[in-house]
Amino acid sequence: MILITDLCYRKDSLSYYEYVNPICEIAEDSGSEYDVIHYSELNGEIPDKYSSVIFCGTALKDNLFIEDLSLMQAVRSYNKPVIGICAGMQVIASAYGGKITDLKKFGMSRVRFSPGDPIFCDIPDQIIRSGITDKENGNNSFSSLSSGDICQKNNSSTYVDSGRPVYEFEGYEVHSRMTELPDSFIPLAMSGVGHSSPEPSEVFRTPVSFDSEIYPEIIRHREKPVYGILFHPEVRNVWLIRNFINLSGEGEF
Amino acid sequence: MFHTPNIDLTMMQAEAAGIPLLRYETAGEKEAELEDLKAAVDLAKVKYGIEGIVTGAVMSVYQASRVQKICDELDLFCFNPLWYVNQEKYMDSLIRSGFEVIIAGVYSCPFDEKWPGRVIDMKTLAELKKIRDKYHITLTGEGGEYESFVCDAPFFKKRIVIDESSCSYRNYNGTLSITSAHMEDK
Repeated sequence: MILITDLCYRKDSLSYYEYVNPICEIAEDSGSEYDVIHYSELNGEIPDKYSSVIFCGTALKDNLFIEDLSLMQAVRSYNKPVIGICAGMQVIASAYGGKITDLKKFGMSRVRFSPGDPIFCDIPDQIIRSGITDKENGNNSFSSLSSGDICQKNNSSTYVDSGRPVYEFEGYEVHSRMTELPDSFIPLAMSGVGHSSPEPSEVFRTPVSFDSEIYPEIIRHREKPVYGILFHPEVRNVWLIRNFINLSGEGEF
Repeated sequence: MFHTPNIDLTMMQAEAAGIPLLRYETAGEKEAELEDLKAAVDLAKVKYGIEGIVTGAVMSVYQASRVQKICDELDLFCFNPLWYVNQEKYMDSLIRSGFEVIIAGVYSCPFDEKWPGRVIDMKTLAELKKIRDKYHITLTGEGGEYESFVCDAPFFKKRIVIDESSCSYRNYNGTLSITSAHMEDK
């Protein structure tokens, strides 16, 4: 059974419908049983009965959750699969010593990754069709984690070239903060650079922001199956959450 | 960005709901219109002391991200409680809980001239589902396939009755213009 953790400013908040309910719908569609618990009721510990945990996002203006030190403790001592979305990523990174920094983003962003980590076990066809090779990609290549890999990071945020294909998709970001990468974590996906135009089939015409910064969009603990996602995968990237749910259900991490 | 059909009737809807209405004019120029929206929201903050905005965004990242940005700039909470709601469950609950909603405009195949003015009841919803399955429209019209007008809601103190309307329709595009309406006690 999955635990979906509500990080909103209080239990049964108006933000619940926006940030927690869509995750519940995805879990239900995936055929997975779940419970929803507000973070204030965890009391420093994630109950053992759950096979994995999803920490949901919350309203942009809501930063109450990050003050709960017992929440960080609960995350740090938990070794089963965890995924933190936006605010959830802040919780996870903070729990492992990452600092919170300011970074504002509203709208769709380009996200680049190389497959290899279990979270990318099932990639939608339309993403694979848009794939580019590392050679075309130049400095934006980076490594992906598979069991036993050690990832090297240098100061310029360019990562070891894995030789794997690089794929791109667009992720929905709404945040005013993010976290620095904790030492025990590696990036699995990075934000893209520059302007991308919407697909012709895009119904909602969303101009992608210009972005001069490259930052991690998906992070993972080097050893534990603990993930943080900066964008909101429940918007147009449900495949990531489904992969996580399916893998944790099968004990595949 | 903005809904336009029958926009003047929001005055009647606000009166029916017993909620103050703030009106602000915009030229509706893409992206520039957001400055107008921000000014209007700021005015609401000053005049009514609002602490947040609630939108009805279901899937539109275009609308939601822009409202989120404005709320952030004005230090307001932003709520989108219909965000990625299950559209079938939502439409079903609207009808069952007593909303009376009519189709106010159609802008996509296969809607013909009979659609503007139709009440969204269970029969209409069943047809919308079939159209969704065949033509891949969104059930809630979130993609701009159709627009709607609320005549009655559980929280309305009076219901709106349409006395006169006209429709201009051509090539799967038609807008219902409500030229006369009045309110009735419930």
